[in-house]
Amino acid sequence: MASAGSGDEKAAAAAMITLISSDNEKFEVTEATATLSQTIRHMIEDGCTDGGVPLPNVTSKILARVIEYCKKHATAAAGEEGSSSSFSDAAFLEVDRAFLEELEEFDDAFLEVDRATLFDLILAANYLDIKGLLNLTCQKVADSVKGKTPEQIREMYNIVNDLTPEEEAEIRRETQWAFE
Amino acid sequence: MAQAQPRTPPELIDDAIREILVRIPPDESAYLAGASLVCKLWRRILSDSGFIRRYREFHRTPPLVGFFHNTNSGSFFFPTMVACPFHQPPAFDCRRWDLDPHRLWALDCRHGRVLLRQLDTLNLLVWNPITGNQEEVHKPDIPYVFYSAMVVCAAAGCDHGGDGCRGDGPFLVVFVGTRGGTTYGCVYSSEARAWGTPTSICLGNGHLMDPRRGALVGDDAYFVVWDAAAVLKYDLDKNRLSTIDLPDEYNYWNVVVMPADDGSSLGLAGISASSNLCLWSRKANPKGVARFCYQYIAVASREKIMHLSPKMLVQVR
Repeated sequence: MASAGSGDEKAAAAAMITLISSDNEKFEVTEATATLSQTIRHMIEDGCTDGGVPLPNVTSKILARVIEYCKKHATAAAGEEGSSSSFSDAAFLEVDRAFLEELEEFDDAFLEVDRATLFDLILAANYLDIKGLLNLTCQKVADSVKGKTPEQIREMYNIVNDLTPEEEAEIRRETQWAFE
Repeated sequence: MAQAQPRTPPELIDDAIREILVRIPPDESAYLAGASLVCKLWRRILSDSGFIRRYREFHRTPPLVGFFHNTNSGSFFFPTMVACPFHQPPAFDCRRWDLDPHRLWALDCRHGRVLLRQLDTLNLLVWNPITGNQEEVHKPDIPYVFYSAMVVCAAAGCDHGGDGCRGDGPFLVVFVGTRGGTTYGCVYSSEARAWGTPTSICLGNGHLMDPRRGALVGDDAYFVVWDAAAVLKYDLDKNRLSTIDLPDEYNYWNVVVMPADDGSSLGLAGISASSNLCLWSRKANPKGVARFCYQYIAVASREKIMHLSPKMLVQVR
């Protein structure tokens, strides 16, 4: 076990990726963490990550949060792999469940950000193609849209109403049932 | 860094807005209607066919848009959620599409289409509630007093109900009718624009009940036969009719056929004398002999389930 563990550590140490934010800050992450992003995974596969991966659309503040998310979830993914190969007893499943609960708590806490940050995270998750993060953040916004009037949605998300009164009347006519 | 004023959220790109709107559940689609009033961009995204595809992929289960209720004065459509902005509401308005409920009787709905019978001409009408397209199908030239019918998607390689099935390709109408102890069947092809060769089977006293929905399992269409304790099986591939006996313990009324939970075998639902809803599914034993197996029983009040069959659910994907 010990030798296998140190071997893994060596492999992990060798596979570090440097991510460079739009404001030129550098972040060293493991390949396991970085490859939660499909965009970066493809870059690694294409062998174009030497000298760092520039991410001109992501600020250091947001990239730090994204990495925080990826680190946590990369550990979870590694845990799942471990559980399927070497453990199957109930005790381990119990630990697994506890870990999943912890992950859920992490996600909930992760989402406690202002709307601007939430939008930045969505844009970053979309650009980096991180499925879990995109799902988490988009669902949060979708939940907040529920039960809101169009005016409230515009107010919340700083959207200008560019529909003409005629267009608005037409949509209201088509969807009258929803406003009764 | 402490911020006195909350930062203005950045503008989202189309992809991100689409990902957000896609996550609004189908049963809360009224919110989608509200979302379409936010701005032009949101409106455009919601009306886009790419969004509809993505929405279906994401939610898997097609939303239930409503049901038909056949009454003595006609067949009425009751929308249960009506339209999302992308379901063009005018298509649901029967009057708009010149569908007069007083001269129609809903027979079947499947694969994005509704099959209706015109009470005056007795011709059939295949209606796509999403596009509003309707196609008249002349009644078949077979003798019948009692009948049932079914509409089936005929697109090659179609996953019926999956993302690829849009309800606007070729279709079949399966028609079975009984007269004088003989049951006839024939199939209309929208591609050939004609009915195929009729086939028949002798059922003795048995006849088809008032038109009620049949079930499609694989290439076989099934209909309930009254007074024969049997289910009529129409092998569409071989154009052949046969019968399947109802369960031995059969003593139920208001029986309906439907695909079983697994989708690959025939299921049966009936109400027992003590008002319980009973379900069976047809399974083969190790010797390969198929029979109905009792699945489970659900206690319900007779008032609630008495009219189990006349309402027809129209699922729109």
